[in-house]
Amino acid sequence: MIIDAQCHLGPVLWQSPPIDPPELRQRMAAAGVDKACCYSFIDRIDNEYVYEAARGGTDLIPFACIDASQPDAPDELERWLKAGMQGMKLHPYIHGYRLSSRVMDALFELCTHYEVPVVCHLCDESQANTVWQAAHMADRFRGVNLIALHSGFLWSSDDMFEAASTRPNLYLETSLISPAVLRRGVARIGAEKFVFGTDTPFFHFEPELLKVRRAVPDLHAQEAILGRTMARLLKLSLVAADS
Amino acid sequence: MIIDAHCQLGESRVQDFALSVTELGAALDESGIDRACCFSFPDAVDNVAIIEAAADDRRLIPIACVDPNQSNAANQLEDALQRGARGLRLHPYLHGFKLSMTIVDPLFELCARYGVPVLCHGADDVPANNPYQFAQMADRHPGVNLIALYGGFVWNVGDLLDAATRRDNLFLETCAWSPGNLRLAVREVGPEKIVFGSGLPDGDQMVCLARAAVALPDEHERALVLGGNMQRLLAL
Repeated sequence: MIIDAQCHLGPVLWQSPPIDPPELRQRMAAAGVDKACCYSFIDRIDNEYVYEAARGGTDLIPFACIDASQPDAPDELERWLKAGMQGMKLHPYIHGYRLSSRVMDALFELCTHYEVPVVCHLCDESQANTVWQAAHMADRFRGVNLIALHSGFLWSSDDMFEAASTRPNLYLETSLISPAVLRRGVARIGAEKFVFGTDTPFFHFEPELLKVRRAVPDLHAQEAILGRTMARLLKLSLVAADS
Repeated sequence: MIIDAHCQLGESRVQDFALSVTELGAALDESGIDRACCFSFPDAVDNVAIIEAAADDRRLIPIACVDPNQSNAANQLEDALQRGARGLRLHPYLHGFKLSMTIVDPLFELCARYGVPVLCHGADDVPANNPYQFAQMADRHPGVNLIALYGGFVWNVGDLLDAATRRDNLFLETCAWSPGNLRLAVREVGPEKIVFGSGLPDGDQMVCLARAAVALPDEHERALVLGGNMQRLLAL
């Protein structure tokens, strides 16, 4: 089973041309991607859109995109977790808060309560979302699985590996990092710490699948990265995950 | 012809990467890329070795890597150009200078005299190599073609495209770009301003070619980006 941990869906203001569910599904089918974790573009949050797109099916896994700088962020998150969304997406840099800020506590507590993972933008372009803030949050909220999108790209992937090596609840997503960096990460901390992601629609499935397959030739390790790890984090059926 | 504008040869302790001439040759064999611009890692500069490697494998195009902070930087560059280097590679972030500093000017003047391009690290990681630095140097040295490696990725692509729209001598390289970035770039600045690169050994030529194929269905545009533009800039 192939699960993409990072797909955007819905209306957009400046980030990208939009992508709708039919186009996303078409791309998934063409590439053999079974499931996609979907959330709003960060510049036009519309959790309702994502929720409706996923409703009634199992291929799109909706996550709530939450702007933690907003005072109603906890209420917004709880609303969508109660409705059945299966994770929370954060983007400290663009939304204007630090990942380690105290405003995050209520959100991480909710994710602990509802037992859902958190995916968070983790390039190293900003002090808002650094490797060590991710480590700090993983330490403070051990009941939450925190997935670092982009694995510390461009210069902080090695730090990311170090942080994840001692934190069972800190995981790394494969978008943006090079095959060489992914290979190094797998060698250092194991394939089970990685989840496949493309950052669709910015990137396309086929080249990013090629990247993982070229970086990690071992099939068992590939399967961990491409779906088994994320299936475990989402508590999907292990039988389905191993198919 | 397909030309990879961005390959680093040698061994880097700082970046924990290594690529030998043999490995680069094997990558070219596999990918079908015809030629590759190659230069040293910033922490392991050896321009003589790069030039010698290119003498052994004619597919390699040697580019001199120079740290402008060094007092003999201009001599280093001129020596390399006289030995056959076909361009200058700069890395403001790892060598610790701003691209627009006056210590860089003598190097650009040499490049203008020798008619070679400058390839400069241009990700969005530090202000030292942000789009405004590129714009400033392109304006200050209109006789030098300046290529922004990484093309401003992640967040500076838009500003770099805007700068390149207004400057004939400013170009963008694709190694980290998404297909979306590449499509946008072709639309905004035209295919003539973009050069293909992989960032090997950090990047992967096959993956970068796959991304370019997704982004550029038009054969003419693809031919320009994948090699036509770099061929022109290098006067090959």
